[in-house]
Amino acid sequence: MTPSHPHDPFVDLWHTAPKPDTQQLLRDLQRHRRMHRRFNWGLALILAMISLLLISKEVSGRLPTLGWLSAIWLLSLAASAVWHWRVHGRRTGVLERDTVSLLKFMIRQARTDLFLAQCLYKGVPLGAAFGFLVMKFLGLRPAPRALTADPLLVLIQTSVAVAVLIAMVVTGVILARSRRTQVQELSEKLKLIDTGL
Amino acid sequence: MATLQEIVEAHGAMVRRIATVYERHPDRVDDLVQDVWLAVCEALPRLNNHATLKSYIARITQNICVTHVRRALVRQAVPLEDTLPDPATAPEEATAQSIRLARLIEAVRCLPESLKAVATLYLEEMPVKDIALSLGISETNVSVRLHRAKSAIRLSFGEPA
Repeated sequence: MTPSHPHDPFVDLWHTAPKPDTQQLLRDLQRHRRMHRRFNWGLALILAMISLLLISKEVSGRLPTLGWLSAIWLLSLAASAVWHWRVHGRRTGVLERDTVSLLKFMIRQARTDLFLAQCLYKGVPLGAAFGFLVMKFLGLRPAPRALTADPLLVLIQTSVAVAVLIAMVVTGVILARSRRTQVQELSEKLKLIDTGL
Repeated sequence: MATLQEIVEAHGAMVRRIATVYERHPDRVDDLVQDVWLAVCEALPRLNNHATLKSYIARITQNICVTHVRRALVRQAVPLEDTLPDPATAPEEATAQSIRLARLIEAVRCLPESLKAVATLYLEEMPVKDIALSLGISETNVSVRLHRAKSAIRLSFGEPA
């Protein structure tokens, strides 16, 4: 069993593995692509709904921020979309690298994701509390016309806002947990592959 | 240029063999194979030299298999007997060769991570130089690891190392 030997019995044995069903695989690939497209549309719809909610709150005067919050949200959304597109392109390209540099790249990426996840589950409630305190401290109140708004609309807006807040915190916790494990496991693999002798 | 169907037919078996080393459960092997092909679909337009298609796909497969963590978290050990054909229920399938193949796959699976990657690519008939390039380690390092991997595989077959 030498590297250059063309008739290694183990290599021959290895190649006797049964051929996979490629037709089923191709069908699965097509289905996966369709699902991925649907997921992207679903995500875009959710983000659009959040944007509409924010805009409606500002238009109805429940948020006395004069449209600034919506503008910041929409700008952040656009920046995130560009960032995601660039990272996705880099991630796909990086698979062509050698395993050691890929692992190093993935560890860096997982650490960044971990930081972002921590920002999400720690920063979001802290940010909400901070915003509430700032509004209290500065004496900012909803516009008078907002106080006379339909109570059902007020209830819907509040419920959706709380649900989004909880969803962001839960997502952050789950993401942070998975990224922490990823950093740990990838670091171990890198150690084994890079200095495994 | 070959279509995706032709490429999948030509290299599908290789991708599945490599994935089988990294995942025990057939369902998760399917998922892993699918991940590989999705990545290959996205990466293919960037490949200039189609002569290197096999090593290119092997490298992507290896990289995805080595770096998949999520599924490894829920991986449970399956005893070797479960991966072998059952002679009592299907005697015609339980050939000596299939048993030896299952034993070989299990032997490669049980290798340490540093040897597993080298052994898998070697079994896919990749030259030492390509294995070194693919993993980002030196050729000497590959040769040493290959020697150790072969010894371990031979031992698992009850042969002298």
